[in-house]
Amino acid sequence: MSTQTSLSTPPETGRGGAAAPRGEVRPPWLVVMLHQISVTVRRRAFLVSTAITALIIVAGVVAFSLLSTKVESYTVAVPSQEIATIVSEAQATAGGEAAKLQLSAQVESDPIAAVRDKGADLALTRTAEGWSLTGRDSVPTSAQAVLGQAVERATIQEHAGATGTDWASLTAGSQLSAHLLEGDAQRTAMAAAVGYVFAMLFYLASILFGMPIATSVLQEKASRVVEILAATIPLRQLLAGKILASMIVSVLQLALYVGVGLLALVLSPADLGFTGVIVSTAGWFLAFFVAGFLILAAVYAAIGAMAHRGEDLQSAQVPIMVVLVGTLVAGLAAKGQALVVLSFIPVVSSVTMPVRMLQSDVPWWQTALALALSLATAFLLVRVGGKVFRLAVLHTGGALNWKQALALKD
Amino acid sequence: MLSVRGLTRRYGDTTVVDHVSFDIPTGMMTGFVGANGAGKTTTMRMIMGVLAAHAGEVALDGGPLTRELRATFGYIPEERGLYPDQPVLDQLGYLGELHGMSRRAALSASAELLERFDLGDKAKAKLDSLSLGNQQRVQIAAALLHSPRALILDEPFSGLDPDAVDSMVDLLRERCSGIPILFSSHQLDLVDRLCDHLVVLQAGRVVAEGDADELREAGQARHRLVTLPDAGWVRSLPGVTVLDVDGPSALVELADESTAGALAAEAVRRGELHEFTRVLPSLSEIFREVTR
Repeated sequence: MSTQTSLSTPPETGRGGAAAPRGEVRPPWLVVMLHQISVTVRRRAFLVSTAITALIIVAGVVAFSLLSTKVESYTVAVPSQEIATIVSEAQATAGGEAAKLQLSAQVESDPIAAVRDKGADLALTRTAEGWSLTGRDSVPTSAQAVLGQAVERATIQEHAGATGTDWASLTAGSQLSAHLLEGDAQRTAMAAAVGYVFAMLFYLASILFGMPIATSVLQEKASRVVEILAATIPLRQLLAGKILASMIVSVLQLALYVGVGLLALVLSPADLGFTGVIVSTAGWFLAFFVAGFLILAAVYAAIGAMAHRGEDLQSAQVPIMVVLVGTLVAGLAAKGQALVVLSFIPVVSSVTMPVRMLQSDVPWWQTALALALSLATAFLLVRVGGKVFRLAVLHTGGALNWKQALALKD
Repeated sequence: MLSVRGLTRRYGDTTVVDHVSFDIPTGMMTGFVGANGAGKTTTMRMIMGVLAAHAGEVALDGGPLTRELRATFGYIPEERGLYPDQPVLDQLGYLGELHGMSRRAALSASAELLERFDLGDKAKAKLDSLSLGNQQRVQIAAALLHSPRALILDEPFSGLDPDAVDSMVDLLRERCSGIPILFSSHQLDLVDRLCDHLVVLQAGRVVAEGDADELREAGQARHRLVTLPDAGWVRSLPGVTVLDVDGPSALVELADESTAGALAAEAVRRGELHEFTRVLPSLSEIFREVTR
C-alpha cells in the first residue's frame, strides 16, 4: 500500500471550519432551496404552464378592455337641420364625446337613398304617422333607444309649447332613482368573479406545486440520494429547503398572475369600482395562501416519504384532493353562516376568508384569528410532517401509512 | 483510523447487527465481506448515521464521530444514489455544496473528476443517459469530490468491468491514501486482489478481522510438492493430509512444520524433487473457512 501522498488536494474544510478559499459557503437549506428552484423553473411543464396561464390572463385583459372600450359609431342621415339637432341632443344624453355610442348627423335631401347608397348608416325621418328610423338590414337597439328618447322629448316639447306649458314643469317629479334594501348586487357579482379567481388560483397552485414536493421526495428516496443527503446535512434542512423552494416559486407565480390581473383592473378604462377592496383582499389572500400552502407542503412531503412507488402517491393524495376540491367548492358556493364557519377552518380559510372579505367588510379580528389558526396548524403539521419525513424517507421496504410512519423510531 | 465499537441494530426481535467491532485503518483498503443478509449494509448505514444504532459507537482517530465529521465522509449507499434525471455536473456541484464547498469550488472539483474519468463531454448529460459503468464512475466522483475524511462504499464496484475496477482502484489509492476506506463486496476475487485489511461478517457478527497478510499467514498452511515421476506415494506418509494429487503434483496439509523436512527428504530419496513451496490461502478461502 502506497503511503507517499496524503490527500492530493487540500481538504476544503466545510462549514464550521475555516472559510472556503474560493467563493461563499451557503447554509444547507439555502443550497437545497436554490437547487430545487433551479430544477423547478427549468422543467418544461412548469415553463409551458406558466407561459400559457400568463397568456390567458393577458388575453383576458386585452379582450376585457377591448370590449369595454369598443365604440359604436353611426352616421345618421336627416332631411333637415332641425332633425340634426335632435340627433345631437340624443348624443348628449348618451354621454357626449366619451360615450360608447357615437351618432353624427348628416343633412341629406333624400336620407333613405343615402342609407341605400351606403352614404349613411341610418336615416331619421318624420312621416305622417310619426317618426321613422331606417337601416339597411338592421337598426342597432342602442341607437334606437337614445334616438327614441330624443325624438319623444322633442315631440312632447313641441306639443307642450303649443299648449303653453314648458318642458321642465311638465317633467317635474318624474325622475326615477334606484335604492337597495339588501346588499349590493354589483359587489356580490364582483365578489363572485374575484372569489372564483382566488379559489382557482389556490386549487391550481396546490396541485401544481404540492404534488412535485411529494414526487421529488419519493425520487430521492427511491434513488437513495437521500442516504447521501442524510449523511451530509440534517434532514430538517433538506425539508425546509424543499418547502421554501416550492413556496417561493408558487408565490412568485401567483404574484405574477395576481399582479397582471390587478394591473389590468387599474389600467382598464371601464371603472368597475371596488378596486380598493380587491387590492387589499389580494394582499390578505397572499398571506392566507402561504399559510394554507405550508400545511399542504408538509403533508405532501410526508406522503412522498411514506410512499414506496409512484402508485402509492396516487392513493395517498386522495384525502388531500378531497380537502382541495372541498375548498374550491366552499369558495365558490358557500353562503351565509356556513361561509362564516368555513372561513375559520385552516386550508379552507385560504379561499373562504378572502371571499368573505370581498363580499362584505369582515371585522379585522376575525381575519387575524383565521390567519392565526391557519399558521398554528401549519406550524404543527410542519413539525409532524417533518418527523414523518425524517423517519419514513430512510425506511427501506414497502410503503407506509400514517399510523406506521408515526410509530417509526430512529 | 475509524473504529467501530459494539454497533448493534435490532429489527423487532431480530438482532441483525450484534455488537460488531472492527477497525478501518488509515491508508488501507478495508474489505467488508459477508453473505447476503449478514448485516454489511446495516452496519455501513449506522457508520454513516443514516440509521440509528441501538448500541455502540464509532470513533475517528480516537475522538467521537460527530455529525460535522461524518458530513465530511464520502458515501456510496447500496444500489447507488444520484438523481437519474438531472445533468451530471449540476448534481455533483449540488452535492459538493452540501458538503460545505463553495459553488465555484464544487463545480471545478466536479469538472476535474469528470475529466479524470473521461466523462468531461458528458458533464451536461442527464445521469440516466450514461452507461451503467459511467453512472458508477459519477457515483464515485460524488463520494470523492469534497476530499473526504473517510470513505464508506457499499458495493462500489458492482457493475464495473475489470478494467474499470482497476482504474477506480488506482484513483482511490492515489487520492485517498491518507484516509480510511471501507468497501463491501461479494466478489471475493476482487476482495482478494484489492484489500489490505479484511472484515468478515456472518449473521451480524464479526467472524474474522485483520490485515490481509496476517490473515493468510494465520490460516492453515499448505504445501505444494512436485516430484517425478508420480506423487501418489505422499498418501502413505504419516502426518500428511492429502488435499489433491494430480500426476506429479500434490497439495498437502501438514500436521506440523517438522513434517515438512521428512516429506522433502522422502521426495529426494524417491526421485527428483522439482518444487516444494508453502501455499498461503487466498482471502476467499479464508472467507469460506470462517463462514462455513
